Amino acid sequence: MIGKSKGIHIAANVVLSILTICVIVPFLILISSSMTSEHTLIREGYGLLPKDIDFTAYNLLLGGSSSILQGYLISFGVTLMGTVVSLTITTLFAYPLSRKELPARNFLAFFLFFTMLFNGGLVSSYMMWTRTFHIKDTVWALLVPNLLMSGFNVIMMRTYFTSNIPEEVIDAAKIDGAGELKLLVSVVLPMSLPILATVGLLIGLGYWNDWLNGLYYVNDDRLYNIQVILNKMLLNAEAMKKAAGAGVVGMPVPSTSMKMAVAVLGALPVMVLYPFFQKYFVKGITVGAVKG
Amino acid sequence: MKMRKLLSLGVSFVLVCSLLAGCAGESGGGSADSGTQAVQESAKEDTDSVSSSDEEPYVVKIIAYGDGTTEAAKAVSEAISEKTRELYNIEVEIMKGYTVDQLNLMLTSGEKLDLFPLMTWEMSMSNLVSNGQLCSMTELLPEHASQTWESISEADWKCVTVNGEIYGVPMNKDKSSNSGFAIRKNVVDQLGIDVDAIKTLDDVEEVLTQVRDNTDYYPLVSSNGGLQGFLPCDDLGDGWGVLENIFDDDPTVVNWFETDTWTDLVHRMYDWNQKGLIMPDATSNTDSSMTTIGAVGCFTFGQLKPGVTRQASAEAGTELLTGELYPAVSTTNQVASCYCIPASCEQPEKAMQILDLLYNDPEVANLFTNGIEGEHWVYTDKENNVIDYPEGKDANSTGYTVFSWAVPNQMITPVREGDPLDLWDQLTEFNESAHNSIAKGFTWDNSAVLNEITACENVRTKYVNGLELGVLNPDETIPVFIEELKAAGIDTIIAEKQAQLDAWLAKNN
Repeated sequence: MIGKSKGIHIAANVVLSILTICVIVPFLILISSSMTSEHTLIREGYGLLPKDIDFTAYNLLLGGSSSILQGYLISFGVTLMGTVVSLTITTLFAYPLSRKELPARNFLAFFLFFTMLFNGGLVSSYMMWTRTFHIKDTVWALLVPNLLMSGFNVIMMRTYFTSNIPEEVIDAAKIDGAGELKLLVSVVLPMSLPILATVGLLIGLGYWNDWLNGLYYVNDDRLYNIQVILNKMLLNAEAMKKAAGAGVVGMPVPSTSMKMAVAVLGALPVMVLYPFFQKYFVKGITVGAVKG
Repeated sequence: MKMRKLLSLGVSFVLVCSLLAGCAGESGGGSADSGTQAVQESAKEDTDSVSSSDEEPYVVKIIAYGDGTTEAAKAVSEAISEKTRELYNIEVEIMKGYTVDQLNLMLTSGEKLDLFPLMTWEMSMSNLVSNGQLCSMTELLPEHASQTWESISEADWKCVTVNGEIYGVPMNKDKSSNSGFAIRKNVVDQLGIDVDAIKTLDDVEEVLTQVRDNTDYYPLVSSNGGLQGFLPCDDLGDGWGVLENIFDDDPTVVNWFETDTWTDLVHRMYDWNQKGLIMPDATSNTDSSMTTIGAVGCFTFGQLKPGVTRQASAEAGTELLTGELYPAVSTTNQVASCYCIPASCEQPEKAMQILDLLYNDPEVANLFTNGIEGEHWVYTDKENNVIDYPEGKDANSTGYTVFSWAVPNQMITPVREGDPLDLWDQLTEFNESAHNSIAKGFTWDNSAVLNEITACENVRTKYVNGLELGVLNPDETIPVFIEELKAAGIDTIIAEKQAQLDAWLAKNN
C-alpha cells in the first residue's frame, strides 16, 4: 500500500518536474536573450545563459524617457481601482444568486450565463463605447470595456458561496438579528477569503495584462498603460529604424533583444506578486470549482 | 407556475428588444437629420460667405501616419488651425499613433473622421469602396482642390479610381521603384568589387562566392524569414495572378509560381543554398534584411529609389552601397497609397480644402510633416531649405514623428540634412523615367474570390519562403506547391483577374 503510493508519488514528481522545466526554460531563454547583444543573437541564436551580457535593450527602454514609469503608474492605478470595483460588483451579483430565496433567481442566472456565450462582437461594442459613452481617450476606456465583470468569475464565486456557506450559519445570523447587509459583511465575506483572493487575482491579472482596450480606445500617450507602451515600443523599434532614415545615422536598434526585454518588464510585477497569492489561489480554485 | 415564468421571460425580452430598437432608431434618425442639415448649411455658406466667419469653425480630423506625443500633435494642430481658420473657417485636429485595427474600427463604426492615409499594403481601396466606407472625390476635386486636381497626371488618378469614381489623392512620393541590391561597403573595399559591374544574377553569384570564401559575413541574408522580391513583375494588387515581366507589356495574367522566371529563381536559390551562399536558418530569421546585414550579413536584394543608400545605411547601422539590377518600373500599387475622405465625414468639401492645402502650401505641409520649427526641427541651411533635428534630439525623441513620405506631398517640404539638395528633382525625374506597367491604373476588385485568396494565401505561407531561400528542393516541392494552389482555386482567381483587366484595358486604351 505504502509502496504503491510512493510509486505514484515519484511518477507525479517526475511529470510535474518535466512540466516545470517546460515553463521555466522559455523564461530563462527570454531573460537571457533580453540581456544579449543583437549581434550575438543573430549570429549564435538563443541560449539558456547569456553569452555576452549587454544591457542596450534595457537602456533604450528605461533610459529614453519616463514613459515606462508613467505607464507602470497607470497600470498599477487601473489594476487597483479595477480590481476593487470589479470584485465588489462581482460579489454583489454572486452572493444573491447563491441565496435560494432570491426572486427571479433563475432569470438572473440565465442572464449572466447568456453573456458568457454571446457578445456583441468588436464593431458594435466599439460603436457603443465610443459613440454612446464617449470613453475614447479617457481613463474609463482602460477600466470598463470587457473587464469590469466576467460571468465566469460570478459563477465561480456563486458556487463557492452555495457550497461553503452552510445555510445554518445564515439562519443563525438571522436569528441573532443580522440584516442582509450585516450578514454579508460580517458573516459571509470573512468566510470567503480564498475565493475573494482568487477572483481578485484573476481580475487583477486581467487588468494588468490588458492591452486591447488601450489599442482600441486610447491614443493619448498620457494614458498609455505599461502593456500599451510595450506594444508600441515593439512597433516603434521598426518605426525608429524607419525614422532613422530621415536623419539619424548611427545606432542600430536591437530589435530582438528589445522585444525580449519588453516581455520581461511586462511580466516582472506579476512574477513577483504571484507567490504571495498562491496559497489562496489553489484553495479558491479547487474549493470553488468542485461542488459539494 | 412554469408557464408564468416563461411568460415573464418573454415579456422582459420583448421589452429589452424594443428599448434597444428605440435607441437605434432615434440615433439613426438623428444623424441623418444632422447630415442633411450640414449639407444645407454648407450650401448656404457657399452663397453667403460673409456669414461663415460667425459660425463655429468645422473641425477636420486627420490621421497622420506615425506617432508622437499628445501635446506635440495638439501644438501642430493649433499651428495649422491658425492658418486654416483665417482661410476657410476650419480647424484641424491631427490624430497620431493610429493602427490599422483602429482605423478599420473607425471606418466600420462610422466614427467622425475627415481624412486618413490609405496604404496599399494595409487596406484595399476596392474593398473599402464596396463596403461604402469612402467618399467619392470626383466632383469635389475640380471644385475645392483645383490646384491638386491639375498637378496630378491622369495616369496617377486612374490608380485611385474604382468603378469610374476617384476616391483618393495619391501621395506625392516615390511612385516607382527600380530593383537591385545592397552590399556592405567594407566588404566591397576589402575585396575590390566593382559594384557598377554587377548586372546579372551570375555576377551576383560571383560576388557572393567571393564573400563566402574571404570574409566572415553571411553572403545573402533573408528579410523576416523571406527573400526580398526584386524581379520586375507586376503583382496586380496582391500577387495572385501577375504580369510576368513589366517590360514585355504583355497583358496576360499568369500564375507567378508557374512562370519560368520564378522557377529559374528558385532553382538558382537552391543551388546557392547548397553552395553556402545563403545565411543559415534563413527562413527563421525574424529581423529585417537591413538589421541582419548590420549584425552579420553582407548582401540583400531589394527595391531602390533616390536617397535609398543613405536610408539603408542608417537602418543597418553600417555603410552600404547599392546597385541596380532592373531599371525603374511603376505599377498601380506604387502610386495608389493615397489620402481618402471616409464616408462618415460630415462636410467632405472642407476636408477636400484641407487636403488641397496640405498638397500645395509648403508651410502647412512642412508643419504637418515635420512639426514646429525650433521644437521638432531646425534649419541648418535656410537658403536651400535643409532641416535637421534640434540639438540633442533624434527621430525618436522630438515627440512628433510622422513618416516624411507618408504625407500628401513630400516634395514641397524641406529635405533632411545629409540628403542631396536636389532630392525632389531626382525623385521627380526618377518617377518620370520609370517604365509604366501596361496595367498601371488597374485596380483589382477581389471581392468575388475572397475565399480562394485566403486558401491560396495559406498554401503560399507553407511553401514560398522555403523555396525562395533554397531550403526546399524545387524539383520535389514545386509540383506539390502548384497542385495545392490549384486545389485552393488559383485558376479561378486568375480567370477573374484576367476578365477584369481585359475589361479595364478595353475601356482605357
